[in-house]
Amino acid sequence: MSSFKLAVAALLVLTASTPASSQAIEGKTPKGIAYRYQRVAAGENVAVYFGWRYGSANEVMERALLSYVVPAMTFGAGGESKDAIDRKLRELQVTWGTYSPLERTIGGFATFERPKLDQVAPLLAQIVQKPNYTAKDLDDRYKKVLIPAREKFNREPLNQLQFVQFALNLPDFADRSRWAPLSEAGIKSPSREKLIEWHNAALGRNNLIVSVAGNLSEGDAGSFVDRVFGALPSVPEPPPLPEPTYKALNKVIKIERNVPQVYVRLYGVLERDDDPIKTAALVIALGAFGNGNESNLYKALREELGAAYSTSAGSFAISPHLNLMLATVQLDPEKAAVAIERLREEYRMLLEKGIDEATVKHETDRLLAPTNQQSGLVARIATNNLAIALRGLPVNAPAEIRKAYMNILTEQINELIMEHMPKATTLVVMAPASIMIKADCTIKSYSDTAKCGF
Amino acid sequence: MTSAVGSMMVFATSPISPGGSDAAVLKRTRVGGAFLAFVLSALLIFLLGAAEAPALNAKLSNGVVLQTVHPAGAAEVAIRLLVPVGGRDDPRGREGLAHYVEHLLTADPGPLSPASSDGALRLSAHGYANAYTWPTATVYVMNIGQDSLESALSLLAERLSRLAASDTVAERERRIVQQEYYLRYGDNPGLRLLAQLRTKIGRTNPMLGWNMGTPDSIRSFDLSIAQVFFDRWYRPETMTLVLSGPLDIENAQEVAERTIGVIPPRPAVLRDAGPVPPVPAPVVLERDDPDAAVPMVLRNLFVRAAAGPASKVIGEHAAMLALQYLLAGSNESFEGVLARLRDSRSDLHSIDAEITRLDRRWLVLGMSVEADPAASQNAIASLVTKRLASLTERDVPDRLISEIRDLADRTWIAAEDAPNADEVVDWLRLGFSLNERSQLRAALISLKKKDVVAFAHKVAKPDTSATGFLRPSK
Repeated sequence: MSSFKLAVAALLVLTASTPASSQAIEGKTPKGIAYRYQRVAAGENVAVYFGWRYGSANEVMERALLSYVVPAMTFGAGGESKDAIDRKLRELQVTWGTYSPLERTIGGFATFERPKLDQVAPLLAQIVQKPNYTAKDLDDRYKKVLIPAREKFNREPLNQLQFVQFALNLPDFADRSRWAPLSEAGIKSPSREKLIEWHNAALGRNNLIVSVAGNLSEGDAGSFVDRVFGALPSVPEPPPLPEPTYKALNKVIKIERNVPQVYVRLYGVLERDDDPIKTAALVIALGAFGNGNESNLYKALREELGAAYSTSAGSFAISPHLNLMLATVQLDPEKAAVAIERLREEYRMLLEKGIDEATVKHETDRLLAPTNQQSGLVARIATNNLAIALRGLPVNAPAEIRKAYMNILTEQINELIMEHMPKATTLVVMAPASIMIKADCTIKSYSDTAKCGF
Repeated sequence: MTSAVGSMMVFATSPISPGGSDAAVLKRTRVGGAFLAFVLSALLIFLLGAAEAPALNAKLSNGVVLQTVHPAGAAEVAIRLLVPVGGRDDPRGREGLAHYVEHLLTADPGPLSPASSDGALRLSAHGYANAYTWPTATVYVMNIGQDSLESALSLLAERLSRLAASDTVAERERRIVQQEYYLRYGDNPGLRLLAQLRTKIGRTNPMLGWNMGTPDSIRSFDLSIAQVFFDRWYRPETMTLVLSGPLDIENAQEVAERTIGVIPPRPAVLRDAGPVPPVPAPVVLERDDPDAAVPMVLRNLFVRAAAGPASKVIGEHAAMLALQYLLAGSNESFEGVLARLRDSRSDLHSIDAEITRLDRRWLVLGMSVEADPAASQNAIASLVTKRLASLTERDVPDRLISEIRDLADRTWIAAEDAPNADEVVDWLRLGFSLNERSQLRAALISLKKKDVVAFAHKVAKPDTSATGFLRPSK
């Protein structure tokens, strides 16, 4: 279960790549599986991230499937028990997890050390192709993991802001996206038979993309992919996910709840463009607006008003062609009203005046700074390449964006800000009833969003 | 500007220095300017090739201890200034004051700076800057380019020489600290309860208290009480400056002397004047909280650490590291005790537990358990201690001992072997000296299953505890 957090556009991770990694390559294995591969010429870690695109299903069933299909693959496979599979994964030092970045995708990852490649491949093949999905293990997951996780996920204040925002701005997605509140039916385990049926019908080799990163050759990577996933069937090609319609609303919505801080999120939509200059410009603009202690929001809300401890701003992908822009702050209730007005003013100024050269330099230096974080590098590269592939972006997109950071001019950034940053923004606020916030709609719960009638 | 809750487990791992035992023999800390020794060392290092440069351990004229670290391949210089004051020094009723003073010292006036000081530099002017307050120490952090060493140290020295915040900045930072509290703990009912428990127990022994303070204590802060605290505790002769990265040792010492070396001395105060605080009585709180999603039992079990010769203290530290491994298991080799406990009962959703050291005198086992509403909360509360009390050598897998041996091989024993400045600081703030570091490797190598079991039995009978029962309410 993924908790909701602000996720900066996946492309930002690219700037953390070190010179020790080569460019990403795309291809197809002999068994027809699409892959992205990137060599990281240091260390022994290998990361394999994989994702299937699947077709439309019953919405409630979809949430339930997401909660079980990949996580429960290791709950026994090929006739071996969960304990046996867990033990084998431990002995081979394999870490397994789930990863599903977009609507209508479902996937996971495995990381391990390169010398174990030949032993890991058959184990993963067993897990991916022949999961047991035993009823007892599914029930345990439901009771021990998903029930408490649902309670926490739905109560989390920032998640509740998100629920409201999706209901208002993305009504196509509101009741079914992975960012919507979790229902009881959405976490209840499908039957074992249903899971297996869906697994066999939806998880094919032709609707799969695998991303491999590590200190191994492309040939070894491709061979590994075929060994793990090659025996999966060919399934009907899923229809492309229709892009949601974004309903831009220049509104302020207040959720009344007794919280010690005032939670605020400013939302807008950014249309994805394959132009790396535009992508770079918007990333730089958002960073300058709200990320870190040199950002406008930080200076205004923390240093000037003393109203917030930190600020953040960025974007994340909600569909192949749409990114959601958001800025998040948590405010001192006594200063919330003033701080919110200031946040909106800072955003208006960003649109009207753009950013100056010193700020551009600061942001690009930050984005291009080499990272000392070797740990996790391979996983970050593999994750990023998969996300790019699932969105249909070209394989060299990260490299092009990096080049854009190096060459972009301040004037270009400011033109693109004025042209592409969203003019209509939705502000969702959570605050106690006693805190006066000028809102277009006030509700007691995220489930009352429809009462706003926008 | 953060307050570390409890302490982080120190699991020092770093590659051992190349060159094996011969290079190890050559690793001596360099004190003062013995030119001949320097030449000989340099020659031997050259002959052996890839051995690290010897580290510098020196005292500046104002008493600040300077320690350098030389990790291979570091691109930046890491500055860490450790001031041995933290949550344990907060006056009663003013919990969180050390953290607040940290904020005041690192705050950038920004728009609140008087017009005449428009040129005042931000602490991050030369790179990344931050600070952390622990129970035992406050650490000021900067990561900078080589060329900015003197400017950055000069800026840091200026900040730590006097508490220069205005009343306006002081009030701003008080509010910011309040918001930091709520951001970290405000929407987590478990942590809010833990803060209350630890504050209560900390009233008897501040070492066991809560670094961040509480909303009530934070509300009481102002510039005058911060000034008193600063004047009492920010004395250069107690500070340690750790510099790590691509450094010219002689130049580094000169630069440090010109900058950090001019932090003015203050009248000495005996930290340990007065009786040793008593061991507090156990504290228990129950709460029905509408923000709680599931029933939880939270416990902090406090154990007095072994006293006496360093070998005994460090030996126990090694056993503590091993027990942490045993509890958590290893993703890569064996299932942990906690996972097996969780899987053995259908009414448990999750168990988390971690044993760490607060300082030389105290260890803490922090645990949280989520369970079904019908589960007996008292039974859940004693789950982990009962398991620890019943531990035998059969419960300690051979794999654990071999992983501990591997850890020993990777453990740095001298500052010049440390992978970074933070590892050195983490060791020092626990109350250990660098001279004791070599004993850690020996202790890890000689650790036996019976040592782990004996330690587990000790932890099963803590000296005191803080226990919270949290239940969801509508």
